[in-house]
Amino acid sequence: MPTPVLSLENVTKTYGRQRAVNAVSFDVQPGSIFGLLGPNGAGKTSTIRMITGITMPDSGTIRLFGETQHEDHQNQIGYMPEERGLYRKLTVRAQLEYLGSLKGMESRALASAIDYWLGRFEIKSWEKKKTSDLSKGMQQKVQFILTLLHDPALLVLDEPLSGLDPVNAELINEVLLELRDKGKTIILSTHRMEQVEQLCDEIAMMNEGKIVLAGKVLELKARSGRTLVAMRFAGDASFLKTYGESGVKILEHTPNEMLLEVGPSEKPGDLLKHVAEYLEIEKWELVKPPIKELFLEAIAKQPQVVATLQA
Amino acid sequence: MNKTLIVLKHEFLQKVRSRAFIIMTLIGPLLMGAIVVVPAYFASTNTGDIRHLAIIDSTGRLAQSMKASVNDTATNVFARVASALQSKVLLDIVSPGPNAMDSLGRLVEAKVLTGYMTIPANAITDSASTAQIKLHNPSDFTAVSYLKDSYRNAVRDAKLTSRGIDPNVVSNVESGVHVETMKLEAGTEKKDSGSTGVIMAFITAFILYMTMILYGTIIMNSVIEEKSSRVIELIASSVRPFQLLVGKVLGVAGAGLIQIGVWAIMLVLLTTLGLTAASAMLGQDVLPSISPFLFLYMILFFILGFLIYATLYAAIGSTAESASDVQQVSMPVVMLLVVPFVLLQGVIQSPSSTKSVVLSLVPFFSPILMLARIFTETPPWWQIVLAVALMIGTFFGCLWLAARIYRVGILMYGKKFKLSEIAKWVRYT
Repeated sequence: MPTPVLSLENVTKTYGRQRAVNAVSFDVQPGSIFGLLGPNGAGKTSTIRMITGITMPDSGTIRLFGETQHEDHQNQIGYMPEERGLYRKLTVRAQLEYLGSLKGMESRALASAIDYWLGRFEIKSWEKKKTSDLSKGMQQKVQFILTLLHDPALLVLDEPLSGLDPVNAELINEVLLELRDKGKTIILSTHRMEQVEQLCDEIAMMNEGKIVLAGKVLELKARSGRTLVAMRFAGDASFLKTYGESGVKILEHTPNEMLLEVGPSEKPGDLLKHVAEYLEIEKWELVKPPIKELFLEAIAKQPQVVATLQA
Repeated sequence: MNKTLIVLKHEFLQKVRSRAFIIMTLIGPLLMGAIVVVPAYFASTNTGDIRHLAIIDSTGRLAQSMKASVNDTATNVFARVASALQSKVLLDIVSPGPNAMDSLGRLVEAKVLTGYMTIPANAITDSASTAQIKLHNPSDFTAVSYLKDSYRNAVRDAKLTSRGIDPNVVSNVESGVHVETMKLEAGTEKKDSGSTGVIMAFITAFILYMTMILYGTIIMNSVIEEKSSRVIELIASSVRPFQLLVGKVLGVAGAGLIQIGVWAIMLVLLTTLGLTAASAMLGQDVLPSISPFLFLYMILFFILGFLIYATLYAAIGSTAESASDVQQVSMPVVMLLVVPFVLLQGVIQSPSSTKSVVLSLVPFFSPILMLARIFTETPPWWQIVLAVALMIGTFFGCLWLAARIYRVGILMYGKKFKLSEIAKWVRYT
């Protein structure tokens, strides 16, 4: 098994009386997209700030690329913070030059990297404009270029899609997958589970400073042992709300679709027969639980210790 | 390249290339010069006119000698200034009569006459007597001075004569008494009026005070801008806060030194020109003699004071998201600058007293107070060395403290922080 790109062991961070990160351990494998999930305030950003070397853990160790964390690792990490912003009065190019040089880039390599990414994101003609003159979408592109400019081996993106317009969101997803295929490792922190389903190979879920669930997405889903049904239908499904007592739970509900959980005492086949009497069924599919369900399940089990699944 | 140097270079070039900096660097001395030159210019255009004055002398004995002395540059200092400024005074003697005052009054109202003076009949005999000067502009300092000065001389001469003393004898006796103050140090004697040192102490104190507040605020705003624009998080993931802080302080300090250097050179040129002109005008040397050592001390104390205060201001900036948030937090630092300014006068008056020595050794006060002592006397060398050593130590102390506040502060958002909270940040690991 290859050396993990990132390895946290019992990492703890306290601010004042608040324990923001509590004995957190996880590994991130090279060439994967790793999702760090959890609600706001779970400790994701605190964890990320330690990974990017902005703050130091109070205790525990962080290893990067197989070495104990040190200052020069900052040059190998591309970071897109949740709290993002640019120098308002600098031009796009001056901005990229300054921050690129702070990542240790030599001026010639820096110039060609800037040219490449400005071209790739089709904002080359804006390089002499000041940030304050750019539209929000343009600023987002510049921000993303700042993350990629120095060709980092590890990308850390904190809520990358927050505040992004759909076009840029699509662009970022596309570039992330392309970078993963090139062997880069990516850590995504988010509270939006759909993006995780789309991109992540492996996840760690945090709640109140602790890891509550971690492992490969597919394995976690396989392990859950819950029976879920995705149904598309026409008709009035309100009768299902009172059907709950017999072991059927509605997890998601839109006018024409439902995600149902079928309890152990019930058989999906029997349920289908029953439901078909009232509704016109267009789709009936047994599915794995979505990550959101796994997360809610994990939180419900707290404070019991949740075993970390390792491949 | 070292990351501190990258930050330093960036901050320095950002400042030096900005239009505001270039304009202020070039225009600053002009503004300062304007403060001196404009009033002088107005004064000179006022006095450039011909003044037409009249005297109604009821004694009948004073007007003639007043008229004789009024344009005599040998005895009248105002006449000397006036002749340099090419202004002239015409003095008419009007015999007292019932209508004399009325008709002169009308001429003054019509501005044909600058003003007139009435001398009472008992002017020489009664020392309680009062002469009157009536002008359409009573603030015409020059006209008033002419009349007063020549009146005083004329009365004195008349009193002497009435007691049988020749006024020339008295003038001879009065002249030829010269006193000179010398600065005595290290076996050499220098001509020094003493006032040069005091003036220099005040001017440098003022310049130091202004520039420390000005550049302290510039650094503070540069920190606040990075924080409020949220770019700081990205910077902090590339550079250690300590490197960022040092680079910022040194970069802005460099720009400040260049600006103040340019100002100083222009100011020295301007004042030298101005004082040379004044010396020529007044016929006496008013050029101060300042030893080049004093300039070296100025530069040294300025740089050290600058670094200490710039560092403190950077720390303050890191606690705020907008310039309006920093008032409470910046109070202690502003106080550190104001206190020596208030103490300055006392220290100049007795520069060697124990109180002055102790105060001038306090590192936050040294840039102003030790420099003031250097200008007014020469303190023992060990005191200067001690002050410099303490300031260097304090700079590193401030840097350590500021770095600890800074690394926490730059990541704290969403509220104003009290000093007590900030003190806790220092203890964070």
